[in-house]
Amino acid sequence: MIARVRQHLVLARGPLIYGLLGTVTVLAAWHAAVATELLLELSVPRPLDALARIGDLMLDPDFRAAVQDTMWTWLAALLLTSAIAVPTGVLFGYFAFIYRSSSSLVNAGRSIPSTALIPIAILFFGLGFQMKLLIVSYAIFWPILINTSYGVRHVDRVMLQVGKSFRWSTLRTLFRIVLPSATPYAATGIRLAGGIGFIVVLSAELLGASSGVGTVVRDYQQAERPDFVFGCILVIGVIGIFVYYGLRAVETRLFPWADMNRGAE
Amino acid sequence: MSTSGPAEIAPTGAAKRPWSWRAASAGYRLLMSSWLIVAFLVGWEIWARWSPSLFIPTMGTILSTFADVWLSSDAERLFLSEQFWTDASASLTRAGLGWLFAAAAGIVGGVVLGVWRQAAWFFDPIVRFGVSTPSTIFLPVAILIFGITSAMNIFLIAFGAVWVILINTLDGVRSLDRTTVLTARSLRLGRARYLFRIVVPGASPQIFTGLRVSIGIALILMIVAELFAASEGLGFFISFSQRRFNYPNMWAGILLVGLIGIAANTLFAIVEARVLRWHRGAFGRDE
Repeated sequence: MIARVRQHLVLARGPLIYGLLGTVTVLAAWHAAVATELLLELSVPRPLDALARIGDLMLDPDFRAAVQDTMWTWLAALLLTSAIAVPTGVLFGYFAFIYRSSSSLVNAGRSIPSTALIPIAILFFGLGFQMKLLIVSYAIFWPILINTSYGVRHVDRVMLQVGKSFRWSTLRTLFRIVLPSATPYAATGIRLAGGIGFIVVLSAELLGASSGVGTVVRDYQQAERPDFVFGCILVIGVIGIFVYYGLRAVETRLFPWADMNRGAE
Repeated sequence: MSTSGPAEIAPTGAAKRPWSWRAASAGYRLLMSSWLIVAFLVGWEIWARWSPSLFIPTMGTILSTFADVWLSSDAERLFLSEQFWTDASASLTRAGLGWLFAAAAGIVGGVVLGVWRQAAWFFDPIVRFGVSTPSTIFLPVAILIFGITSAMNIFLIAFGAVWVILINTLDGVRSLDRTTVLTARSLRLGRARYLFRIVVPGASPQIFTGLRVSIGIALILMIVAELFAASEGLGFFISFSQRRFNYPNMWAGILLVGLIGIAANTLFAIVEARVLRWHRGAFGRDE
């Protein structure tokens, strides 16, 4: 009986127990590193202090407003850029002439690290919302575009030939054959873009934007309050987990056949 | 099927065509792939001349500044300027070292977690936290621990790039072909041979996906860290020029960063195509 319960625990709860154990071990190692002054407490707080600061931060209305600001910028950029990049990607993928002409420009565009453009965006748009929106949009435009056009180009040839033998018009083929099979690719692009966008929005905030979580972190770093810095990071990490796994869950729900690891950058 | 007939014959026919025809078709392809970039540059030039702005110099100015700042006539320095050897090589060393550390740790870690289930459970929360936390936010932490040093940049780049490599390697190892794994087991391959003959090659397409994505992340982080705090490097050069209102220099810096990004991606695509020649899925990605 006990053996069976144990077996059940190992099978079903194994990952959970090991995961908890792993987390506790890492926190303990962190604590030990600070306690033995391997890491100076001036630069890294004790883990319990950092965890305690999460509570303080969540009670702080300014911090909550900053989180909201960051997430709103992120969402706006994601929606806006998807609305532009998906149709562009379809266009690029569907017409061989446009695809061949644009591929080197697209490759150049996606290779430029978006953060290098932050100084320029600040010149043109100042430190506000527009600047962040523009930088994030630039960064995530390429993965959405590339994945969408990739999806369009990888439509099943047989289906295209069937469409041709039905003498379907270009538009009809596009809406009945090409788009349905390219949508999962576009979704993959948008999911990848979500992660990159989160990195870039925080970069812009660290580098001078006037509002958002990144600015709060920067202020605490300059005030030499590592406990608050780590508290912020833990909060952002939790949000990041929701974003990352939330987008994945939405994608699997909408396109259960999609291969999660497909997709370029 | 009638349409596929000629299409299949065409490639063999093309190889036998006279050189003039082949040269013409190569020229056509070059024209097709480059006219839009040329149009973009010309459009920039016209725009900058019609509406003169301090912030947007003409392409001509940017290119000549680029040559002044980054190039020299000194063959001993590979025709690159003093400025290049201080700023660009500092950036490239940081990004390169950070990326190499990330690649080593990510591949080894991913393989270990992929074949050792308990270890994967143990580290699962940490990996999830790492992969979904936007890595730039660790910049203040890196500065608190390392100060404003190259070690800080390298740490940040390695820490930011490692997760995507690790998680792709892990997925690649987990989705190994069952039959291959069982065959290896029934052949009683030793542990080392199993890892190097079955696991790593089998997962290599996924490993390369992770490595490819991580290049972009490494470059983003390289620039962020240098824009934020550094005394040399391309990011520093860009923000320094901007603060000095030296906009042509700023654009020359951005242009060099862009060229480095393009070179890194191209180089990686070549290596990837060569290493993964055997893997059909690797072909036709970018065509």
